[in-house]
Amino acid sequence: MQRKFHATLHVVHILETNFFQKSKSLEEVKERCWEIAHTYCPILEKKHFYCVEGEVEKSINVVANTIGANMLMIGDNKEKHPLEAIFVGSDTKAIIKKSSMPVFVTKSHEIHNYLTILIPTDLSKDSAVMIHHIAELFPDALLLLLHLYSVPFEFRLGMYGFNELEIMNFHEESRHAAETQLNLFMKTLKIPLKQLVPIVRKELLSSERFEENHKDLNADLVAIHTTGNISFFAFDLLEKSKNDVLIYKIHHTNKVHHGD
Amino acid sequence: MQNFTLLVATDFSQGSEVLLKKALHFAEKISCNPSCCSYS
Repeated sequence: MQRKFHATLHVVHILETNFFQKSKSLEEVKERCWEIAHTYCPILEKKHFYCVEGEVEKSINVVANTIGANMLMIGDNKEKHPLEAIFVGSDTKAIIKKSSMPVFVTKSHEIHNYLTILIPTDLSKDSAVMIHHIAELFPDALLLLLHLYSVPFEFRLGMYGFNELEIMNFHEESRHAAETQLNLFMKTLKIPLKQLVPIVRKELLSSERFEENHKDLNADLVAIHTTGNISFFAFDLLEKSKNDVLIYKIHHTNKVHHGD
Repeated sequence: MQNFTLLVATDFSQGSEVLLKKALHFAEKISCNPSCCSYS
């Protein structure tokens, strides 16, 4: 499938100057940072490397807005030494909260092609906006649209006097309703159906067992938006996931920026 | 064709090399023609 983007890579490092000794000039530190970045990524051009002083999340956002970034990519800072994590203070959640664009959080060390992307959806318009954007970015990927449902009063149906057959029917109706809702939602998307895989599962939205419960889907990326019911779940999942996570903050007045 | 600017924020802690490699791979992957993918 034809790709539509002309990608440009930029790198930013924020210096929190409080922690530098006065004997070391900032220019020296910045030059050293550039050398390391260039070693890791030789194709990177110096004019696209920004080493700026300031508060981490605020400064990242300023750079991102200045260059008109479409997406921010960050690592998982859990790997830091605990003391460093405290001092550096570049809390992943704070960066995401401050960011006005999608944030890609790399959690795994493997390089993936992202051919299977798991997208928990609440069938909302926000979710649709995100799914469209992901389909554009990853035209070769299968998008697994996961819609979770629960059976109302599931554990009280017996107590309320329903017999086994009636409870079974109730379960079946709930499942059928969830499948119908997901199929209707898919039809509203302007994405080829062969790229979408509808998955309906009876489960409460919980980050605790999310990865374990859906590991059979073999997704190499989880994409979530942070509005509505998904919001708390998104940040919780981010902490627990071993997969890379793509987080979209959808603003009703400011839809996902697709580029020029 | 749309321009897509990917900003990678690194703190140069352990794992930064992997982060930059993954970013490069991602930029190449979404580009229309990875061989002429612009980093300039």
